[in-house]
Amino acid sequence: MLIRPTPSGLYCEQGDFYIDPKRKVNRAVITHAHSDHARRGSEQYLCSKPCEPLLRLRLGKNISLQALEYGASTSICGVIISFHPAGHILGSAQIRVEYKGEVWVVSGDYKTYPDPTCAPFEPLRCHTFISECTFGYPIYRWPDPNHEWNHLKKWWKTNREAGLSSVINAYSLGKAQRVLNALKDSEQTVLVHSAILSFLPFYISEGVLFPEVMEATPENVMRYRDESLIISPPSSSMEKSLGDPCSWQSLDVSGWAQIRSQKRKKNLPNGLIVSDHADWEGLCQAIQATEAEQTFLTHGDGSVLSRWLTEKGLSVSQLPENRSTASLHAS
Amino acid sequence: MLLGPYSFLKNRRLKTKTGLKLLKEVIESQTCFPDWVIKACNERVKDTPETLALLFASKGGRCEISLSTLVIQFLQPLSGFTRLSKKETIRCAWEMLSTTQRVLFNKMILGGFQLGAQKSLIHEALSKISGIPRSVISRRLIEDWQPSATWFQSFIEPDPEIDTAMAPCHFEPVVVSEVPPDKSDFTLGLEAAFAFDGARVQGIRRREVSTIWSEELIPLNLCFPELIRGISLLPSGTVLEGLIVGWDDDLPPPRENVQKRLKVKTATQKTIQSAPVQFIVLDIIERHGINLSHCPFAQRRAEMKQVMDEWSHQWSIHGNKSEIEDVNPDFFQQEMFDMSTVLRTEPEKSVLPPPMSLSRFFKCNTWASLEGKLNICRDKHATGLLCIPVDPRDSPHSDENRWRLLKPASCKARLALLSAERLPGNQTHFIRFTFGAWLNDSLVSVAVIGTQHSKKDFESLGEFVLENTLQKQGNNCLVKPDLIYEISFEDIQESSRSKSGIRLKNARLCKRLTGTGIKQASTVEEIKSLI
Ligand SMILES: [Zn+2]
Ligand SMILES: [Zn+2]
Repeated sequence: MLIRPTPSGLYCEQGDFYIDPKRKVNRAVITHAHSDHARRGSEQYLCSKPCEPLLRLRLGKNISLQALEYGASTSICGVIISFHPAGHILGSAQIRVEYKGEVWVVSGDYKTYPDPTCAPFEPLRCHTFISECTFGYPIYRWPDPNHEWNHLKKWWKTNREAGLSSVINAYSLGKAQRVLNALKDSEQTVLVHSAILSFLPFYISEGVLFPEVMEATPENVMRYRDESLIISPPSSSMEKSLGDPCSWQSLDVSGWAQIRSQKRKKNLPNGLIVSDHADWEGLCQAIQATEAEQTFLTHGDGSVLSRWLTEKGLSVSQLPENRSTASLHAS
Repeated sequence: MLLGPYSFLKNRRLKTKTGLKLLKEVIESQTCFPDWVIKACNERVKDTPETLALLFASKGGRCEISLSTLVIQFLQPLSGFTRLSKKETIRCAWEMLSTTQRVLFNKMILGGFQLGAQKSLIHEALSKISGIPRSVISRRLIEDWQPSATWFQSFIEPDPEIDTAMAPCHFEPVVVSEVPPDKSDFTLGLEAAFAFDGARVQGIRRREVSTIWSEELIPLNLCFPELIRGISLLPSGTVLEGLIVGWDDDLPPPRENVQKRLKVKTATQKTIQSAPVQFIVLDIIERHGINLSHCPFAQRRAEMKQVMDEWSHQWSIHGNKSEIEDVNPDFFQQEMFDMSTVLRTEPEKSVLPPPMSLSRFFKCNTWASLEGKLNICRDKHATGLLCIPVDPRDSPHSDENRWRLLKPASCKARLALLSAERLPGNQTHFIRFTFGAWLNDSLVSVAVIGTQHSKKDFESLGEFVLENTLQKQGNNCLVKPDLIYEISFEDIQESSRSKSGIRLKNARLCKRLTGTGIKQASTVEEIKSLI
């Protein structure tokens, strides 16, 4: 077992490092800057070059951090580590770990659909693949993103014509920038929450195009109401500052938007089905492309995907989280 | 298009003769997903039509296809197809539709496409749109319909002859009271009849057409075909009013029969046999096509008697015959209900009552005579007495000249709160409270109080429960028996579910008894002795 799950996260004993550790560790190798993968408090960080500024913004300017270009490698105690695009968000990487000829790849979060805000997913061959499995059910199949973006533009236009504000709920890192990029040709004002705004410079320096944006301060929200599009993280209370619920419309941007019956149950607003994770098809393709002898699924319910691929003759199983090495060997 | 939505609002399922199994087969042949995948996915989605829609991997065409086109081109023809062509049709439709449209399409096939709108509201809406009276809408809708534009056109076109023939008369509201306002004055020259749990209806025979209308103006022909058969033996131009009540060889009339029958859309012989009912005639509103509602009740009573005597004679000739052809069936029955199939099967085993009977009336000239009848209501399992002046009083339109339902004074008992049922998923909101009385040395439940009470009552009960819960069993909270209420009730029903063996009918909270100890709660014996 080159990499095994521990209570602190995925651990490589030979190199004495953790991948996306859940607790403070000595050496942390980070797939991407989302908060469930990049946590504060470790002594040393290693990440991809485009991930670096995002990680510093999230974890602090002065963390001890080493960054590698995609494809470049470094060696720790004879373990060779390299980062390869995962297509999830800006700077997201799959981590390739090689020791004495044995190759493991930890996917981190990834998607196979094209996304102009980050480098495209790069299929890697390996002996063992540890894949995320957020949407490991065949009910999740993303429509063409362009179709969803067109829908977004139409929706905004309709609202403008009706004198309503349009509110988009999207994660502040990744999804929000994807939405903005889709609206790059827009001539109307786009207001964005400050949390989203802070990430934009790093995208711009990577050549990602955006329309003109303004911070969604209460003054701006009032001033441009009736016509503006406001992008804010789902947790922000933007909708409250808009007051009268009849004066605005909102839209979620999420893979979860695909299931109607659950949306209705949770009373969620309508959604654009745009996800930064691989859908069923994407997962199946990515796993098959690795030609791995064994695949472990993590980060979601992998029961259906593992059985489906096992019936197809692959060796795929759920990664036993937080359990001892013994049980993993047994599986 | 209005019609499409309507068809599904009505919870009527299109007859596609296509089931879940076939849809799953299409999925399997298109995607190779075996049943276990479909099952696992459905556990997540929790909606089969949507699961299937999501599993079908389409390139997601969002074609502009109207609901009615979908119905006419894809859904309606299905029932006539072979299994193979059904699959092909469904696959084609799925391919054309977007995921959301596929969800609706599947729901239409599987019968889950419905909106929880009340029937009466829909009828009201259709009436507004078409300008046709609501009762006509309701009546036309019990006939066979097609979700097509042509059908809808003819549906909203007036058909004066039939429409007037089937129209109900006005249902005069019945005044309900426990004690009459002025006993001495009230009882002068009254006719009274026992009232039973049931449905107030009008039975109408005009121009060879028979109809039963509920007070809510819903036609009940399909619920009570055997009563329609009875009504069809009335002379044309007759409108009778009365109650449909459960019927049994012995009293009491089973109250649940009518409810059972109203729930069934089209009664079969089995339904009729298992829940027999009878139309108890209490009033006549029209005879020979002339409205009698302003005539004195004495006259109506006489006319009613003549009509029913004549009817009994007709029934004795035609009623026992198993074939309806003899009595000149009206078009309505021919179209809607093949009476012969209902009544021809095993007629000798039938224990059905005559479909109609004239109510018994009592003359009451003194309060004492009325009270005497009121006091035996419970023995007769009657809910009260229906009374009406024989001759109209001075003010012809006042309540006094209407039917009045007198209810026997309710009984009262002191009961202890035993438990409360929570609204599922809500920690502090209760929907039912169970009260108990002493039986030997323990408190056993005798009454359940539901939501018909004021919010205030419920809140104070709820607070008590929150503070005094001893034990939780699912949504049920057992409380320390420390709260005594005076509770009124109308009657005692037997109940096999309670240890007490009884359940109080129409139990209502009167007042909270403070300073009354738990020992002073009524005993089951005491309660039984009240009735
Ligand atoms: Zn992520
Ligand atoms: Zn993640």
